[in-house]
Amino acid sequence: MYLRAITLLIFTVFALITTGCNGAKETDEVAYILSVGLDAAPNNQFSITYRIAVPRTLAGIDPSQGQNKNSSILVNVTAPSLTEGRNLLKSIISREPMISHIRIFVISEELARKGLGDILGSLMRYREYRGTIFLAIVRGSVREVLEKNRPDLEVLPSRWIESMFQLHSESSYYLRADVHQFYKRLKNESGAPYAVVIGINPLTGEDQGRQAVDKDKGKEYLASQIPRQSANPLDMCGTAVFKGDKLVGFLNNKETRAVSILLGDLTRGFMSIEDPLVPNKSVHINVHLARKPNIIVDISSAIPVITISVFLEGEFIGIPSGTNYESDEYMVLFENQISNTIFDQITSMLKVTQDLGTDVINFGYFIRPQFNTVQELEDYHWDSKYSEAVIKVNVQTKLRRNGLMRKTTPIRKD
Amino acid sequence: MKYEPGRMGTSEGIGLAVIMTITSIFVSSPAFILEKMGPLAWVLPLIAGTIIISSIFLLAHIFSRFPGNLISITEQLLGKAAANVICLYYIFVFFSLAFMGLREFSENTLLIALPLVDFNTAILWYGLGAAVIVYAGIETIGRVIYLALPFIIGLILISLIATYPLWEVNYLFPWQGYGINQIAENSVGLVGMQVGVIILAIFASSFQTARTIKTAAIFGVGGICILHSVFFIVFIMVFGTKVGMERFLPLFELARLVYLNHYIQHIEAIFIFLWVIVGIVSIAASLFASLFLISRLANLATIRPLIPAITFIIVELSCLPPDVTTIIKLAAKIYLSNFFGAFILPILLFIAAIIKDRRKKSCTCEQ
Repeated sequence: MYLRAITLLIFTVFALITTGCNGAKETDEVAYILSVGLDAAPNNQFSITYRIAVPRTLAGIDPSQGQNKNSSILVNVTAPSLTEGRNLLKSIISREPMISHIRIFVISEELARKGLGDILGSLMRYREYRGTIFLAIVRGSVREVLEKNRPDLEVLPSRWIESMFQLHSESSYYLRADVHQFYKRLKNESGAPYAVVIGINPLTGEDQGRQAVDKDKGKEYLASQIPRQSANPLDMCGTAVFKGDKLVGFLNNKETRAVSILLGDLTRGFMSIEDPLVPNKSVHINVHLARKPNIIVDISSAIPVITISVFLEGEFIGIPSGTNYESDEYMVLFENQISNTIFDQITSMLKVTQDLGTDVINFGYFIRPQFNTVQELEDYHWDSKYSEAVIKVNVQTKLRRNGLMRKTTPIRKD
Repeated sequence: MKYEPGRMGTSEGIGLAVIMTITSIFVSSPAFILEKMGPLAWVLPLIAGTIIISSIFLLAHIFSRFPGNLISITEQLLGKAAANVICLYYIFVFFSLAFMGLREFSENTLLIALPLVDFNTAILWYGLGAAVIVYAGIETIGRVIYLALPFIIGLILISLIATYPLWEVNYLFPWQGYGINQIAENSVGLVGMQVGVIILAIFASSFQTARTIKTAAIFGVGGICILHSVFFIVFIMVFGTKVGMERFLPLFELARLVYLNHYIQHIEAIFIFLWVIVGIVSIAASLFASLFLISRLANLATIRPLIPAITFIIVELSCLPPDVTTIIKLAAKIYLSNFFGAFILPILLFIAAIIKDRRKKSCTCEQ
């Protein structure tokens, strides 16, 4: 009888005290860090900028009215490491800094060129950091980027970051880049790490873009070069490419979209292509990958041969010239125009990466089944062979839909 | 004797087989196996599972000829002294499983879930939780796990499937990994890690028939080994070999990477819930087996007075290694040696049973 009562008591005590509340913190005891920025500082130190959420200001805010100015604060400290930075941060804020909700690490170009190995070490080991944290490189000052980020549509800058990365495939002018993929490419046998490029737009409206290769009417931009005069001054555009843990170069928006095509990520891409029959006009289309690109890497000879087949599908968005491209006789002509343009963009991007010696597409991934053991794969040294590889690209396009118009009739001429 | 369990069926058997094998997925052993095997690591659980199921089948065959449990048939086949030695050996095996599990699960709880809790408090709670469960008996442990099985397996599978956007199939190549020759050595270690399945033979007399034990081994051990193999496949596809071998808690790391959208992320809390259930119940099962064997060796009428004392000893023992690296190194050595108890000893008993059987038959013929 007594034993049963004691057992019942023990279970009751268990139920009350083992509910996982040990060490629990109320939200008003915690400072949720949303983003961390790292700039180079003198004497091998970092200038660390934290964006910290102010949850109480979020109550009752209508998201459509844009960001509340006080929904987050910025704190900057200079420290030799992220861990020491966290200590110093605690001397500034009253709450416990909570790292596990960080959405993005923003690192300056200067630091990235020196190498991210030391920084990533602590990120991968400490339980509060996670591989899903996004990674961006800033051309210029990171602190300034975090200061000037004033999203119009989101209440919190972290939501802006999350939405931007989640919807990257809407244009594929930047890629989804996180700490996990960066570290995986850094450590495994092949593949160059990459990150997104962020920059502050001067909002002068000045067009600093370069004319895109071949028949693409759109221009080539990197972050901060998009010609505009209003809205949040932050641009997310292009890709920062690494060799090992060091930044070695950038890919612009068009090259980034070519990367996206070869990674099999292009779910939608609007394009303005030069009209083959009326060259001063454009034809607007929406293309996507019909299937993942077929990539074959032949390593039987001393110089590897990479054969890439890309098959795109698309639909017309607009034909300003009025040419009847929906008809069979013109359709093939225009499909070839698209294929040639994409072909040129892919080969141009591949040339840049081969010159940099960075296998951003991770062609090395495709040679893995050709080896029996890991030792054989490592002995092949793919990274050193990538720059010399012969790359053959074949792009095919099929426009399957005409949008909501069956055919184009020309505008009446007087 | 009071501590002899009541009748157990297939469900309890499957529950016990599962709880004694599933812990290998939760701790850091997958990373060590990946370091040795590379992309071929997924094969190892299947091989280890086949070995351990064969071992249980050999023992089940003996039980169909010589009714009793592992210790009593050893006494019948090899004599009382041998039975006592075997009993002592398995006390060591289950004792080590209990104290290593206690330390590893406590350390990992501090690492991932409750970093502010004092280590002694964590280990005491694990010990206390296991001790309370031991009072409920081995049938209860088996039944609880059988009932919780759909949730445990389901949640693990959800964690694995939710990492789908990160799967890269070619990381499963080169298909021979670090060489096929690595299979033999590493299978020994994994079989040794799953030695706890011998619990089915220790409580054999409580199972309805030898067939019940076989069914429990096939579905319990077989199912977990397939799950273990699937886990390796997903883990390799997500991390690749080089990054995978760095991870200390592979399943937890997989759960941490789940990011389907703004609303479905940070799901590792599910994993912590599973972690504690599996950890405490597996420690309790090992603790119960140790207590059962001690009582049998010492001819005690009941095990209950021993529970607090033995739990306290196990808690103290698990506190001895100075750091987590030492306990992992120690565990690796013990698991290697456990191959003897998991496979060699059942074979020896099987051979002894065949010889004894033949002698019996020849004696009958002579008469």
